[in-house]
Amino acid sequence: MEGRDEVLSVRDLEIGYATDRGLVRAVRGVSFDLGDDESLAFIGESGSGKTTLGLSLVRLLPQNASIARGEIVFRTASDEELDLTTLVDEALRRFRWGECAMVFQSSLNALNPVMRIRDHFADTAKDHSETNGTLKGRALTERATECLQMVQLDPDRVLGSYPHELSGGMRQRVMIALGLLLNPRVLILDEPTTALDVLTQRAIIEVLRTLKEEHRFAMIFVSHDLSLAAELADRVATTYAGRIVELGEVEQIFYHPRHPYTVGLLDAVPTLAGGQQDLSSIPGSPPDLIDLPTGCKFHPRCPYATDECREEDPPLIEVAPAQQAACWHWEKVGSDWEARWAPRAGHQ
Amino acid sequence: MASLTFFLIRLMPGSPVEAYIANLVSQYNLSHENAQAQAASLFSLDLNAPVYQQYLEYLGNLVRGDLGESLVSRGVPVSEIVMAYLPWTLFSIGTALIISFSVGIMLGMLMAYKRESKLDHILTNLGSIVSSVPDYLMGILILVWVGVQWELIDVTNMRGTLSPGVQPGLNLTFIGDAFYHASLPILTYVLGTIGLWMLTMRGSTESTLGEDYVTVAKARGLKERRIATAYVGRNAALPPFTQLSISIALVFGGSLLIEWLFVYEGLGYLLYNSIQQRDYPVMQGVFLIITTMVIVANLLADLLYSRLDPRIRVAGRD
Amino acid sequence: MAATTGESRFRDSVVGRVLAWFGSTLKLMARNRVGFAGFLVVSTIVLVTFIGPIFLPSEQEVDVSEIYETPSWSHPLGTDSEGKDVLVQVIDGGRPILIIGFLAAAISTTIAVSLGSLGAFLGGRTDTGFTWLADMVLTIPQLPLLAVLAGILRLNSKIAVAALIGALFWPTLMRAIRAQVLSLKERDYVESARALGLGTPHIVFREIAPNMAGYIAINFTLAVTAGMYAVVGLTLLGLVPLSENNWGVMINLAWTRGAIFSKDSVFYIMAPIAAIALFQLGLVAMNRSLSEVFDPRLRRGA
Repeated sequence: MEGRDEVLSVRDLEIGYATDRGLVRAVRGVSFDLGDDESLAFIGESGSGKTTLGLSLVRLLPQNASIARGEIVFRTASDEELDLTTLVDEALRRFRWGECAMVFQSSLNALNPVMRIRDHFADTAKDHSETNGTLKGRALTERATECLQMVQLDPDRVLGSYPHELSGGMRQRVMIALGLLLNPRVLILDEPTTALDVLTQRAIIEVLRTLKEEHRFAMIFVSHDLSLAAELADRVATTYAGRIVELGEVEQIFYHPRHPYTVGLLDAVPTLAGGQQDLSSIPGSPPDLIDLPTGCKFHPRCPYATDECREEDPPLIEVAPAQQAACWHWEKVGSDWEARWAPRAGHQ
Repeated sequence: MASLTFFLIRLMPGSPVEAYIANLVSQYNLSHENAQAQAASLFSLDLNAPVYQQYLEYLGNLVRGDLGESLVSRGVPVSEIVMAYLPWTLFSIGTALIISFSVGIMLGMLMAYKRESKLDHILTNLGSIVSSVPDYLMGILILVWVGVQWELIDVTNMRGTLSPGVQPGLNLTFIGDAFYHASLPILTYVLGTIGLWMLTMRGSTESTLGEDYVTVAKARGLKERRIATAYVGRNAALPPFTQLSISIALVFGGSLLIEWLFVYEGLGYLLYNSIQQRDYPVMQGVFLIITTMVIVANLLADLLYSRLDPRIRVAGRD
Repeated sequence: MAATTGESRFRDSVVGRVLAWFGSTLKLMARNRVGFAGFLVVSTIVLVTFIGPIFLPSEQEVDVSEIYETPSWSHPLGTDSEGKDVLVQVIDGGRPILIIGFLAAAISTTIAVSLGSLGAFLGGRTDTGFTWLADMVLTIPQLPLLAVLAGILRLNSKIAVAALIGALFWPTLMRAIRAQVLSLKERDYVESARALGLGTPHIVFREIAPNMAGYIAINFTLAVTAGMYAVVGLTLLGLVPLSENNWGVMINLAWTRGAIFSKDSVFYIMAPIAAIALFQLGLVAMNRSLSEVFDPRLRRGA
């Protein structure tokens, strides 16, 4: 990492769900680092393991899920290293929200219907008073006002309201504001714009962009929406069948992808400048996580698949200074891509 | 409600007023006119006037708080009698409902948190069994077993609402004594209604636990205790609360039998006696008051509910 | 030709359908153990109390020497204050109570179904009128009203008592039926029935009602419970002058004869109470099976 402090370090994480049909291998060996002020986007289809990954960072996995192996190390502001896989009870409770806040998809029902917004802030502050000092009364109101302004909500209107009096978009923003209350080092956002109308999506994206520019904390986005990554991420990780298949800085990924899946994702996104080109969707469907195919998990849907792909699962290979791709044929993928977009490349 | 009572008493075949008049004529050899006149004063009615006028008069009297006079205790206004018995019923039923509801929802929540555990199974079955027994039979069972067979409590002394010689007043002796005498009726009411709360609360807690805001509350690092009370409890208690109106009606209805059983001098007891003695004005008055109490209690419950659930508060905000 | 039509007519008729339904219900009942146990309890009690008395002496003799005996082989549940066998009285005493309970439930269910479906189906003033009536009846505390009426009228026949009770317990079910009918009203098969020109009663009773059979059945058992509660309560208060000895009367007699306060007579007082409680428990347990039976997710086919 270039002179940044790492706040999160994940190594070989494997998570499985025990179901009647068998073990669902949702995350199969994920490793990455997160700098303390960078935003990392995990982009993938449903079932790619990205949400599970997010949940595991705050240890809110459902009952039937367990971390099979791997380590998650979190560095706090006071330089303390926490092993997230073994945190329990009080330590875990304080960690949640205080160090790392996860905002869930669709906050429609994320707030207690019988409590006002101001009380939600108060609750959070009260239960974290050991670590964050007692924030109450005037100080609390000021801080809450600050947070609400950061997400472009009117504190006077919102603080005294009940959740049902606010629109979906407003509730989503309240959740983000609530997430910022304790100054966490990492903010995880699961599908922050899904289930919202286009205008609200734009507002949320603006809010997040402003936050990113003005404040120092790390963000992890989990989404299926590649355009979100384009707007907000510093680095992008495309995930498939429980693994990261490509990881790199946002511009590298978008302009010089090296994994067929990433290419497929890019091709599926319509662009205004696109003209008459065909939109293509990736043929086939995501694999069954209980009964995975051999070799590279993407090979059944991949136009570049060869015998090698069917037999051996490629690891993440360094394909450029700040980019890795898990594909045996990344060079060909690269050259095909450049050939297609040569006139457009290097525009910056 | 008053209309119903009035018409019920007045227009039934063998109407009590007619029966009373007939009784007077035969027993006391009064002329029909005199009998009518007496009946008229007792029922606060002018029997010669057409029915609708009598009805209006009745309503007029009602508004003034005049419920007529007792047949049995000559000259004593019904309202006075009713007022003497009313507070005891309110006291016993009120206390019972509060206890039953609070304990019931606490148990229900406990059962939901410890789903499928031994405690849960025991309480569920216990709750089912207890609620299958009619409340008055439960009362008899308590009398028979706790009082007579096991001689745990002195049942004879517990009759009535107060021990002889105790004066009403805001002192400990009075309050303690009142509770002592009311304890068996209260216990019976509680046992009769608690099963409902337990089972309803168990179900609603279970579904509340699955709500998003509970998961998010955990993600926010809130303390378990706070989540259990302010997030789960407050929301899960709403559905059982809506059942309160059913309970209120049941309990007031049951008071008839239960007060009779324990010789507890409340409205139910009064009603029973007045029926036995054919004291029609009192019957009419008590019935009216009981019905009114049920309606008022329901209104209060509705009001309380709207305070608890901000989503249903009608205009007045903003 | 005629025979087959007649046969299928029977099968399709209400009776035929009910019988077939009954058969498959029994099978489904067996699924839930608690429910099935409840069903057995209920059936046993019904059988014993209805058929048992045929084998028993119609009047027992007063035998003062055997007052309040403890249970023995000749008197499995002991004797009462007149030396009469308690078990015999329990078996004898069930029928009147159960009959009134079932009758009251039948009456209230009929009223509820009729008013509910007709009101919902016809809408407008009729509907509003019925709803208003239901609300009025619902507000009145039932037992006191029954007591008052019982005190004023002379309630000699079982039917009168049952009718009185039934006339007060219908509003809850009526509301539920009405809601159901309102939602079913717009369904396809009703539209087609209407298009075929079938009359309102036909639609109500042949098309809509069978779909709510489950709900009605469950409410019926609850109404039986409520009916028994009312009649035993009234009997206890001495307001229902039924001549024969029944469970309610037994408890009443125990009360007036001071049996409650003496230690020896525990079986006399407990026997009818236990019988009532057992029966009601059985009904409640049976309800669990019934709700499983009628849960559309478990039902196979229409």
